[in-house]
Amino acid sequence: MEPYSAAPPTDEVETQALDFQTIFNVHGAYVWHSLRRLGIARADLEDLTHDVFILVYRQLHQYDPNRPIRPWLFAFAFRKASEYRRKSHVRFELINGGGEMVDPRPTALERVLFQESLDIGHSALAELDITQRAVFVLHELDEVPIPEVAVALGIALNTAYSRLRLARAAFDKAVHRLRLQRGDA
Amino acid sequence: MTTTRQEDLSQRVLGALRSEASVELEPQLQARLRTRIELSAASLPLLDVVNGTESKISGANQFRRIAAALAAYPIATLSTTLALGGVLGASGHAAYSHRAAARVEQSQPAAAKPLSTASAMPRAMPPAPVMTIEDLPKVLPEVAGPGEHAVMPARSAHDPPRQPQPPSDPAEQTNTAGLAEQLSLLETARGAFSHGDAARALQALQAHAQQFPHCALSEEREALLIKSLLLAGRRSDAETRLLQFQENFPSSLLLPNLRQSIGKIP
Repeated sequence: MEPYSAAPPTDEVETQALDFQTIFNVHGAYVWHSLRRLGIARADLEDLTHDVFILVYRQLHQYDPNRPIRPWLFAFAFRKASEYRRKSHVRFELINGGGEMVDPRPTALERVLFQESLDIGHSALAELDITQRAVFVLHELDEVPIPEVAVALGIALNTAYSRLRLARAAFDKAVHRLRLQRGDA
Repeated sequence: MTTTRQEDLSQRVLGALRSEASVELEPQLQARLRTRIELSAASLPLLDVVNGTESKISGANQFRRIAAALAAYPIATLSTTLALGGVLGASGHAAYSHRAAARVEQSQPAAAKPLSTASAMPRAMPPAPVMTIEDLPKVLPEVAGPGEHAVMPARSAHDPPRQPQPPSDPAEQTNTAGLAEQLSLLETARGAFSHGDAARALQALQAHAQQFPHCALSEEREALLIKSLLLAGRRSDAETRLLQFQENFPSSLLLPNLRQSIGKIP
């Protein structure tokens, strides 16, 4: 049995005419979270989200409304995240600053557990190669089918499957190790 | 057994990561981000036109987007930004945008209506009050230098409706060309910064400061300068500049981000 079930994409194909403002209103948080999952430090998330949407603005005429928009947006985030990793100032990154999110967890205990899982998740993601991470995030977290992932990232289908397999193994291993380190396995 | 437990752990972590994605951005952050993006996006068509760059986006769509960007600003945000001289090209860009918007209103009445942001929002984000193009100031504010606050002229209800002006006015062309040069220098600096080239960013910003010491883009320039100084490792210079920035632009929308940058970098 597959360890993960790829549910049908929750991101519906948007056939109506999309304008830039609507895309930002509806998908701004998605781009933000995607950048975070791709390893962008909190201090830089705002700037990078801005940059992604400027790219989106410039390329909006190329968007095919018959395709789901989130993988298309993710490709921009992936491009920006890849550039970001090559920048010198990334070394200044500090983790866990900010507190910009509105956390809807109802109780303190649930918040703690949720936050712990999140910390482990982000740490495990950070250990993945960014090309594998992009496939993993799009498929496992955004539940985008692999063929769509391959199209969005401009890679061969077999490459996408291969990266997914490697990423899954690396992610499971990292999660297990991180849990052990916290004495919770 | 161990494998199953490991899979469960991974599933729990993946579940948390998936849930996180449904968390909306804080409204204040989203509004700030939206303003920054719209200002930047609205400045792109101007550069394309002035530089003669052939855009792949149709002119009508560009105008519609500028109109939409302007029309959808929360009144308070727009007023604050304009009053600080922070809107890109307060001296030329807004005039151009207004003309563009007015042109859209003439040719595409439906497209020029303010966007209904509330209906597009999936979750609770209070609908912002919107202003139409006609509510924008008739006369542009004087260009403000650092420390000066441009005064927004009040628009009287008796003011006659503005007529769209042809873009071929020589005086306005000169203004627009100056603005294009300013924007171009800032764009160079921003590009260099985003590629991690602090030296080039600082060079472009210095050139901008020399050529346009008291312009409407001072706020944006100073903000980028602070970030570039940080990138260059000149932390104390950046802190000094931030203090000046706080004095000159105490209500700047860029301040939270700058404070965060200073605070986050050891």
